This record gives sequence, structure tokens and C-alpha cells, in this order.
Amino acid sequence: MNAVISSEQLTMHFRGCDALRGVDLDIQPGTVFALLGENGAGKTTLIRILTGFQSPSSGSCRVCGIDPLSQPLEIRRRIGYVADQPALYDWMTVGEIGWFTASFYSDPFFDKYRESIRLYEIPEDRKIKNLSKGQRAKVALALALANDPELLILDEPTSGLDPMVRREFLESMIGRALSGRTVFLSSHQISEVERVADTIAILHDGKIRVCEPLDQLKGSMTEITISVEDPLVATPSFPEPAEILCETTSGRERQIIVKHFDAAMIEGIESSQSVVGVRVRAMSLEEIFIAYTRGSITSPESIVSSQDDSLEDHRAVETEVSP
Amino acid sequence: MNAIPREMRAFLWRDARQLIPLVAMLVVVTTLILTLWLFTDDNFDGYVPSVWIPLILPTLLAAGCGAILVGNEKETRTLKWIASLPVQPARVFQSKLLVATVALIAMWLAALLLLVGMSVAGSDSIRDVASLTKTSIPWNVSFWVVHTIFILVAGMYAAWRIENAFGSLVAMIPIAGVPISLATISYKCYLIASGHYYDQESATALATLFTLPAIALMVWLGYRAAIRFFAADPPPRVASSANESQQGLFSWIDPWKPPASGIPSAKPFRISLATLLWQAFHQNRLAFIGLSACVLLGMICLALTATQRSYNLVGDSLNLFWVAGFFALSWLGVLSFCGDGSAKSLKFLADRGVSPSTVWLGRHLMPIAIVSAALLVYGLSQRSILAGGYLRAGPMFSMAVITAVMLVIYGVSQWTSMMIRVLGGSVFLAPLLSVVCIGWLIAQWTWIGSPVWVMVICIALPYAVTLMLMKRHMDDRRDLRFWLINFAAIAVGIVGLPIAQCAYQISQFPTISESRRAELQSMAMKFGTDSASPFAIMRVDWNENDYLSKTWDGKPTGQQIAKRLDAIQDRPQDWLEIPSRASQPLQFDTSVLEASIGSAEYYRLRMVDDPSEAAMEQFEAWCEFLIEYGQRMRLSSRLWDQDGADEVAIWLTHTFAKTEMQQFWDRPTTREAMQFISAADDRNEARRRAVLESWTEYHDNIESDSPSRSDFGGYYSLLDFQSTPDFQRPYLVDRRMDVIASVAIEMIDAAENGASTMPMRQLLHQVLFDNELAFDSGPYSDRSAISAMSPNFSGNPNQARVPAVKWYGPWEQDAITLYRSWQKAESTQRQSTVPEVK
Repeated sequence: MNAVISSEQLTMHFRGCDALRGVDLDIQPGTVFALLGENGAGKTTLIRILTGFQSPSSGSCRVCGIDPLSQPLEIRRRIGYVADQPALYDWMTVGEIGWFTASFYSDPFFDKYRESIRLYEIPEDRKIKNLSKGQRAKVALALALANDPELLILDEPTSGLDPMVRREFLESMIGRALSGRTVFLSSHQISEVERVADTIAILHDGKIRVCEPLDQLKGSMTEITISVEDPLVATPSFPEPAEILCETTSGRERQIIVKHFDAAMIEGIESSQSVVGVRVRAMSLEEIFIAYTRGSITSPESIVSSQDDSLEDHRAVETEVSP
Repeated sequence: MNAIPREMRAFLWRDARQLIPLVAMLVVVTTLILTLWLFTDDNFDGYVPSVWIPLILPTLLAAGCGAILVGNEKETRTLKWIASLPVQPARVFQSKLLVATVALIAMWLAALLLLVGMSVAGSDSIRDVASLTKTSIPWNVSFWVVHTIFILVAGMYAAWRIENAFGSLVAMIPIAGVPISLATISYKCYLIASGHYYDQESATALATLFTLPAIALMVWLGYRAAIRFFAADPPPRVASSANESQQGLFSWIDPWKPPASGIPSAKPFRISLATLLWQAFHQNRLAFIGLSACVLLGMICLALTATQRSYNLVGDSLNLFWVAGFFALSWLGVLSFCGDGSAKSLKFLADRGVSPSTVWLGRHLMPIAIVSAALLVYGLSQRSILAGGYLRAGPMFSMAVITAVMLVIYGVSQWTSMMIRVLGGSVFLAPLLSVVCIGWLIAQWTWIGSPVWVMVICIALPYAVTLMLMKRHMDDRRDLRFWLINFAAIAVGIVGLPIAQCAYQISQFPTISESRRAELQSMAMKFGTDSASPFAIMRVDWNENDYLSKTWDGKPTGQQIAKRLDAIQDRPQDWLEIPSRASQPLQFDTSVLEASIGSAEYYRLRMVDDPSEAAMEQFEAWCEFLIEYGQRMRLSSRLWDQDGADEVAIWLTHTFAKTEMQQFWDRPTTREAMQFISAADDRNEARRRAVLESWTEYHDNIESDSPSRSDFGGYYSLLDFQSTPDFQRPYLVDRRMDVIASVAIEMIDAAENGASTMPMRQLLHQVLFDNELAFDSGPYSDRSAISAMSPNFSGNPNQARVPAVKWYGPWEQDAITLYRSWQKAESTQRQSTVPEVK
């Protein structure tokens, strides 16, 4: 199956920082794809490149089989895009902006838009400037969805929405994916993403740290807590294919995040020197996200600052392990 | 209509809607200016060409289209949203250009209609609209049409090309001047090289020739800029990391700027104002530097214009620079609360609890420093020009005037920018409103007569309002109260206060009560108003082809003329056409009286020197004419003629009181003179009648809207309030006439009862000279009342041209004394002593 979005070694250098450092993506149609990353990770830059607003420093990408830079109009015809703070014409009414936007799309657009607006309970004769933040977000969503695009790109789509609408909206994303369309979500609302996303990608420091189906990602990550008699004893090693992502020592307890852990490995750990107890727990997506994003801090300054933070918080020492 | 693509229709609708506020603003401002023009037409038409008013509409629309249609959309990021839709960038560009062009055409039609309207109304500077197509640039309307198209496309290009909306507006100004500057320079170079004279048609044609290709160029550049705007942003060039970690030592400047990245700083910005100053400057660094340079240069050029004539190349350039300085100052004001000073930007400070007054001061500190520097520059330039002894060719304004004008421009502009959030709107409206406000202040000074303190309040009010509304502005609260304060300040402070103060001034002007008015009316009824109108004494026309030729057929010879002249006996009837009916009142004509007195005095001296019968007859002929003239002026119902009769009486008293005239006291002429000067009761009655009839006739003329209402009893100057502002005159003139009439009657009554006339004279002085002249220096003072027997007596009739000025002066007592002496002498047959002239 042809990927809806594919990119190869996308890089983007800004003054003083590298927003993207070789991003490779391959998103299949009919999925809800969630791009996670902390503030400044490069999510919006990646979306701007995918939608043809920004040329990358190097690398290439294709969206719906089209190069966004050479055919931006075609891309915009086939996708729906909602920015985190959509700029709409304040002086237009809700109805007017729908009519205005409809003129760029085929006919059912306006009817579908009005249907969504009715669903969101926004009066059509109200001016955009008089709408609340959430209502503006709903109007922007309605405008993006009215075209029934094969790819919907949403940058922080639920910020400003009330819980009820947020739930309905997220559920509608699942419906879209089931009908064969693709949804690209950029968010740090991990709990929401966890509810709807099929595939998760974590962007950190300009790189995709992980890109896997949600179930697979969650299934492969385990938090192991080892109690030891002597805190100076080294952590026991894990057999292949287990991979330690992060290890934290707090007194006589060590918390280790391990990828590809197998329950059969517990017996071996328990038999290690000074180990008095082993507890195993499945991880949430949020914990996985934190593990990926905090686990890669490698610069000396960061270690110093993180040590200071740890001392202030829990007097715990954190050892950093690259994934 | 359906042939137009659907997306194009949507764009056209959107762009047309976006232009509506600009069009509305222009209509409001043009109406304001037109209103000012209508009120000040008589005063300013010669100085301010009225053609400016209609030209404002298309010019400002052309200049503002780019800012509104493109700049504003960039600022609100709606164009970025449009870019996310499947829209061809060319369509966006075409739609905006099309809407702007149609709006410009509509504005030109409106402007031409306005021009025609003003032409029909009879503006001095637009007598004939067709002639405007033949005037020199820039007032040549046909060229201006072309030039506004260029301004339109230049503005669109600048708005597409430059990211910062304010920057694009500033950049448009030099671009807009390029074709006309190139054409002017080229033409002047050609004139210098060829030695030809300036020909306005050629100059206009050349300017048009330069402008037409420039229009095409700007459209193409604008299109390219629009396409580039919608294209994907190119990746930025990566800066070297070496520059990013700049290290430095602490210095005096450190507390005035934030620390460089990674460098610890000991309490930067110890003064919160310093923080705001830094922010205000750095946010718009280029704009500040550019505008400040323009303001300073403009002030030097303004000072230099006094040394240069405006219609040469250097003079024109100087004018261009000071006009640019004016715009720059206005935009400094706009920067206060637009762009970086917008409510959204200031919200950051509001959220951190920074005092609104501190923020307000921080926004104004930098521009105030620039204004101060500009004033200093102007003062120094002016001083060096004055000290250098340059030949001056223009006005040189005082520092006070320049300070006031600068404060008005900046104040109004900063206020406008707080009221109008759209930068494009503020940028165009602020200079216009500044001009309107300056016009209003000039009108206050010259037309309404506001005192300095009212004008100071008007100048300070915009600052006070922005200070008062600063908190709301920072919180982005534009509620009813915000607008109420704004409109109250305009309505009450700027418009209402001067008018209220003027109304107060008018109310303080003396007037008469209704009962007194009724009393005067009943007195006037007794006299009736059926007096014959006084006739003017006409001079005999000595024109050769008229009077002299009446005697002969054809052209007279020199000998014939000489013979005719020899036959003239130099009697009054030789020179004057005196109405024959003795009961016909005569008008007071100062030149006739002066000439007659001169003749009489001449023959008096000859008579005294040689008291022959012929000499006496000659003197008596003139003297009798003067007595008759005085008597017939007494019959007149006009105040002016009564005062003329007084002049005659004064001269007669002065003349017959002379020692050398005593020998002629037995002559019938002397008897007639004595009877005339001694008739005090008749004089009083004639005065009373004249006062009441003049007053009644004045009011009758007002009611019937008669054209002769421009005088009061023959005194035209009474309606001409030299020092009173035009606006107050219509309200004061009736009061003045009422008071004059009432006081004159009071004065007659007081004199008849032997009371002092001083309070009445003081009141007359007040209503006529409005305290601008000290009473002792005025014509009603005792100092001015010189005795008819005084050696200082000049005989000049009523130089002040105000009524009742010689009533009950010392001459009347002199006349009585003389009459009594004459009577005594008459009875003792010239054996008694007569008073001698001192």
C-alpha cells in the first residue's frame, strides 16, 4: 500500500538550532497518526514542510503521492489543515466564512460545513470576533472537515475545546480512519492521543525517536523496580533483546525502563547478587513519552541541571542511558 | 456575473468588504475638512487651495489600499490561512488589485463631482474645473489621476513585498515620489541645457510619460511579490555559532539593556522606564531611526524654506522634506499604540502588573525626546539663518508656534492610533486628523477667538485621554466606556470647550434689558421714522470731456478752457452740487467738509489780511455754505451726519472765537454761525432723533434682510469688529448697536440734567474697543476731548470713526461762552471783551 506521507532525511536548520535532523516517516492510509513531542521539538516545522509552507534544508517528502513544494495547490485540495491558532477573518460571520471558503472547494462543502456548525451549536450569524476560543477552534475544524479530505493534518486540534466536544471530535477521527482516510495529529495531549491514535511517533531533538503502532509500543515497554540490599552494587544486566532505556536509583530501589522485556527474564534478575525483590509494571504512553524525551539528555550542562532538579525534588540520582 | 469564477467572486466580495472601513473613514475626514473649508473659506481660500479637498479622497484611498487589503491581512495572518486553502496566488493578487482599482475609479468620480460642486459654489481656487487640467503639476488633475494609479500599485507592491505593515507604508512614500522626481529633474536638466523656458504642459506630459511605465513595472513587481508570499518559505541561512556566544564586560549601558545570553547580570533595568524605553526602541528600531531622521531633516528644511523661494528646484525640495517630516512626526505618534504598542503587545506588561501610566510614559519618552531634539534643531537653524542675514522669502515661525504644531501632530496621531487598531487606518487617518486639528486650532485663534488656555487644553487633551484610557488599552477592553471617553473628549474638550468659552465671552458682552429696549422703542415711536433720507453732496465733475465739453460742441481748445476757468469764482457751487431744497437733510462727507473748511480758512486769512468786501464775500460764501451744511446735517436721521454737524459747529466756534474775527462779528454770517453753535436744545433733540432712528432702521433692516444693514446710522465701521473674532461678530453686533443707542440716549439725558457723561463714554469705549485699548488712550477719554479754543486744536474730524465721540465735549461749553460773548458784544456794539484764543 502507498504511504500517505513519506519523508526521507528531512532536515531543517534555523538560526541557532536544528529543528529537524533527518526525519524519516512512512504513514499508511486509514490510520490515525499521532506525532508527539515537547515544545520546540519541531512538530510545527515538520507540518509546515508537509503542507508546502516551508522548504526543508535538505531531504524530501511526498504527501498523498505529491511533492508539496512542486504542487502545493494539489496538496491543499486533498488535505485539510488546522493550525493551532487558526487566523480567521474576524469581521466575517460564521456563515460568511463558510460561504467564502466553500468557493474554493466542490459543492457539498457548504452543506457539510453548516451541518458541522449546527452540530457544534454555533449561530451562523455570529461574527468570528465574537466567538470564544473554543468556538473558533470548532469553526476551524468544521472548515477543515467540510471538504472530507483524504488527509487531515491537525496541529493541537483540541486546545480550547470543551471535554464533550473533544471526546466527540476524537471519536470522529477514529471513524475517519475506519473509512480509509488518514488523520495526522500533532499534540502533547498524550492521554487523548492514546485514546484514538493507531500509530505513534515521538519527535525529540529534531529526530523521530520512535514510530510504532500504539499497541506494539506500549507492549514493548516495561518498568521494572528492583530492590537491592547494597545500593552500591551494579544493576544486573538484561539478556537480549531487552534494551535499558532509562534507570533511576532512589535509595535501595532502582527503576529501570526496558524495551522488549520478557517475563522469563525476571527469574534471572531475582537471582542476581544483592537483589531482594523485583516488581514489573506495564507503562502508559505518557511514561513512555517521558522516558524517550528525558532519556536522551546527554550534554554535561543538562546533566548538571537535571541533577540539581533531582536533588531538589527527591534527592535522587538519575543516570542517563541513550535508547 | 456567473462568467467570473466562483473563487474570484468570493475574493472580490471579501476585498470589497475590507475596503469599506477605509472608504468610510475617508468620507468622514473629507466631510470634516469640507466643513472647515466652508467655515473658513473667506479667510483661507487664498492660502489653502480648495482643490486639495477633492483630491484627498482618491489620493488617500490609493495610498491606503495596499495597507488595508494586504498589510492588514498579513498582520492578522488571514493571508496565511488563505494560503492553506487550494487557492491560486494569482487570483488573490488579481482580486485585490481589481477591487482597489474599482474603488479608485469610484473615488475619482466622487472627487470630480465634489470639484464640480465646489466650482459651482464659487471657490476662488476652483473657478473652473476644466482649468485644473491645464494647471502645473501637482495640481494638474489629469496627471494626478495617473499618479494616484501609480500610488495605488506602488502601495500594493510595498505591502506584498515588505513583511512589516508599517514598514511597507513608510517605504511607499519614497517609491510614490520616484516618477515625478525623475521627471522633474530630467526636465530641469533639459531646461538648463537647452536654455528654454519652463512650460507646464511639457512638464506635465513628461511626468505622465515617466509614470505610465512605472505603473506597469509596479504591477509586475507586486505580482512577483504576491507569488513569492504564497510560495513555500525558503530555508534560512544558518548563522555561524561564533557570533551567538558574545562575551562582554559590565559597563554603564548594562543596566539599560537585557543581559546577553548566558551572561549573568546584576539587576538589569533598575528603572522600569528604562525597560519600556528599550522595548519601544528595539521593537521598531528601523522605523524609529528612519522617522526621527525625517523629523529632524524636516525641521531644518522648514527653517530653510524662509530663505528659499518655493518655485525653484531647491525650494521645492525643501518643501518636500518638511512635508515628509510632518508625516514622520505623525507616524511616530501612530507607533505609540499601533504595531508594537498595540493592546495585544502591551497585554504582556498588563499581565505583569506594570502601571499603565508608566507604560504610557515609556511609549512617549522616545518620541518626546525626538520632538525636543527637532525643536532644538529648528531653533538653531532659525538662529543661524537670522544671524547669517539671509534674504528671507517665506514666513519664519516662532518656536512657540512650531512647538504647538508638533505637539498637536504627535498628540492627535497617538490618540488616533489608540482608537483605531488597524495600522493601515491609523497611518492614513492620523496625518489627516492632525491637519484637521491644526486647522481647528487656527480657527479657534482667528475665528472663534479662544484664549491661550483653551488652546492649551485642546493640545493637551489627546495626551490626557490616552493616559486615562491606557489601562483599558492594555487590557484590550474597548467597551462602551472606552468610546464614551473618547467621544466625550472630542465633543466636550476639543469642540465644546472652545465654543462654550466663546459663548461665555459673548454672554459677558454688555447688552440692554428688555425693558430698556421697550423704552427705546416707545421713544422711537414718538419721533416716527418718516424722516427724509439724507442726500450726498456730489462734486462737480471737472473732467474735460464731461463738464467743460457741455459748453462747446466738439473738443474745446485750451484757450476756451482757460477762459472758462477764469470765469469760475471759487464759490461752493462751483465745486459742489448742493441739493437746493433747504429742508433736505445732507450726508456728512469728510472730504467735502475738509475741503470746504480749507477754502473757508483760506479766504478767512485773506479777509483778515485785507478786509475788503470782496474778500469778505468770498469767506462768507464758504462760511454760509458750511453753516447750511451743518444745519442740514442736523436734519438727518443718521448718527454719522449728527457728528458731521458737530464738526462744523466745532470749526465755527474755533474760527469765530479768534481775536482777529471780532471785527466781523457784526456781519450776518456771524449771526447765523452763532445761532447754529448755540442751539444746544436743537442739537440734543437732533441727536436723540438720530440715535433712535438709526437704531430702529438698523433693526428694521435686519428683519427685512436688507442689504443696507451693513451700517448703523451711517457708521459702517461699527459692524466691522476689527479685533473681534469672526465667529463672535454676528452675536455681538446687535448687542453693540443696542448698547450704543441706549448709552447715547443716556448721555443726552445726563447732559441735559447737568450730570457727568463719563460712565456712558466708558461703556461706549467698552463695547467699541473691547478693552483692547486703554480708556485714557481712546477717543472717549477726557484727554481726547480738546477744547475748540485750544491751540492744539487740529480740526481733524472724528478720526476714530465712532459715534458720539465729541458729544458734550469742551467745545460745547466754548460755543456757549462764545455765543454769550458775541451777544454781549452785539448789545454793547463791539465794546465788550471777547475771549482770546489761548
